[in-house]
Amino acid sequence: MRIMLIDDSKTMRNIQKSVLKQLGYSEIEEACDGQDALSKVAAFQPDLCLVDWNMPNMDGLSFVKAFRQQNKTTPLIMVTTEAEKSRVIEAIKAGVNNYVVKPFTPDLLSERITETLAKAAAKA
Amino acid sequence: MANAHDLDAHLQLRHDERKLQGSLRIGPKVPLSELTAHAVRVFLEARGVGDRYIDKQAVQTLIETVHSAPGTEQEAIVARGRPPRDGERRILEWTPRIAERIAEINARKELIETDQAKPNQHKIPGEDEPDAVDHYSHSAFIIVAAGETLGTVTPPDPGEDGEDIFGGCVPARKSPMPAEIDTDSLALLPDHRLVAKVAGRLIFSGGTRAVETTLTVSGDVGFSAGHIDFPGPVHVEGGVKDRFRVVAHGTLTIRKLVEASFLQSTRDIVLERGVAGREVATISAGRHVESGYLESATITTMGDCIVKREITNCELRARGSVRIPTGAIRGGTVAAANTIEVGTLGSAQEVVTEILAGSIPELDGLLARVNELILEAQNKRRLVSERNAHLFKDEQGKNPQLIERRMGVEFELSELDGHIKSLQHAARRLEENIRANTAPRVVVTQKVFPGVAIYMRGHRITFKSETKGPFTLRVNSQGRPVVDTGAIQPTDAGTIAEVKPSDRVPRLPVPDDQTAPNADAQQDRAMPAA
Repeated sequence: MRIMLIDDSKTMRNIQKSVLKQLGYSEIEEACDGQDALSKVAAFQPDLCLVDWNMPNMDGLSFVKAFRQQNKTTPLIMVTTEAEKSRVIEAIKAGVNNYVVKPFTPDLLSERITETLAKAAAKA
Repeated sequence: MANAHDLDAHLQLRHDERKLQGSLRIGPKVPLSELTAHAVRVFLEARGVGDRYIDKQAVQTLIETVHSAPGTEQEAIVARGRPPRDGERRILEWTPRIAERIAEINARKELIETDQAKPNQHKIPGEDEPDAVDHYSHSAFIIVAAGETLGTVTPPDPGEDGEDIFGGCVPARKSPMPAEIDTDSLALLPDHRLVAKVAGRLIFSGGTRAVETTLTVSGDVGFSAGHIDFPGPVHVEGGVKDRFRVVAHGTLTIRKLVEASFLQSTRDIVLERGVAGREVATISAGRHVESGYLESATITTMGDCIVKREITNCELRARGSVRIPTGAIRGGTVAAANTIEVGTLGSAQEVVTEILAGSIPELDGLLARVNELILEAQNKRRLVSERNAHLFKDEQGKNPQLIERRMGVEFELSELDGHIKSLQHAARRLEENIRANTAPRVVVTQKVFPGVAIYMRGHRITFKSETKGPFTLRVNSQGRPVVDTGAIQPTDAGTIAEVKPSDRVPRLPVPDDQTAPNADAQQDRAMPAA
């Protein structure tokens, strides 16, 4: 299972990586913004992406829209401090499969990852 | 025609000692008309010479010579037996490695003999004479591995008997007795290879070929023997000279003095006389060390160290006990996991003598390092927590940057907690290991001089005045040092010496099941807080 973490904060990526490692995932790629992520997805071919919203260069929503133009199936989880309902709806419309609001606990993130991957597997 | 007897009077048959050649002498007055080849053959056969041994050509030539020079005496070999073919010795051709080693040893022997006539010739290459012969590293022994092919053996030729001119047997000389091959240690394979059945020293000169599994050095380990690295027990009848090294994969016994050298054994080391190590000697045993005395040496043993007379100025580490019940430990540092039993500790000159009881230096060091790391991690955690306390006081909680910083700090704290937990677990395992493998006890049968410091599980016990034995210092169930003097109750160690805290031999936490008050604990109450 290849997972891409897209967040401009290295600390946040480390937190997410720690949760993923506990879940047993070790094939992890990191990107510091949407643009960086788009340049890496073709080579890395992720099975799941965790995307922050607010990032320099290209924000998470723009990344989701661009990514969905070329890939309809890979599940995306938006991990963000944007907690307003309208923002959640906007993200889902753009193509995210799940939504985690910061601050999150490792258990919550782990639960959402498992849930999202299970749904994606059922669809496939 | 003349009578044959007339001819016989002029002919004489002679032969060599082994009767392998017969020569015919013909007198000057032989009747030439009767001297024919046939007559000569008849003469020879009448004397027992077999027809097949008569050299007809030689007979004919002899007759012609007589006819051409009448009146002269002539003689020629006219009969030849078959000489025997003597037996041949079995030939052992060593492999290039063995042959090279034999050549080296012989050359070295010559050099040593030459050098011994000139004192101070034993230079170490690279020190002051780069071209000097390194007699230290050239061993005088050929060490072989089990299964190693040592050479090829050409089988012996038994020879073939010959026949003398009368048809008698001329026995062949038997092949010389070959060097005996010890079949316990060597195998002669059907393909004629000589293979070592066991690892050890190859005996290649004298009447036997063998591999000895115990190496006996009849004299000193010095320039005549070189360094030794032997795959079995080693017994040295002499001593070990300065700078030489003896490594034995079995018990190492040395009868005479060990100088500033290096000794290592996977099992016991027995030094019948002792060590004068000049602060250079290093001794390392996989099991026990026994010695008459130990002086200025570093000794490490995985078992006990038993000394008859004195341990002076040594760095000694024993994974078992140190026993020198009627002798003395003076100067240096002696560490043992278990009991240290000694007659006298220190000297009247108050030489600094350190005793580490219940110490396994490797584990002690590791535990000390782990405890340092725990402290460092705890300090770091406290600092992180203090520096970021304001983040958690913020009531707004909506600022995305603040949320992420909080999460980062929480993550760092949680990582540090995990790290501290792992270190604490490691420390507990080390403590358990140390506790299970140590029994700190110092038994003094005679006396202790000032200048002696005994370290025991978190304590330093210093003697300020001469203290007479017998007494036993130990750590009680509460982890405190007490003295047994033969009285019913042990007394506080502070009654005979100064007791201070020290981590030289780390303190171990008292197990939960031993914290209940007991007789020891009551005795401990008088002890200064450590």
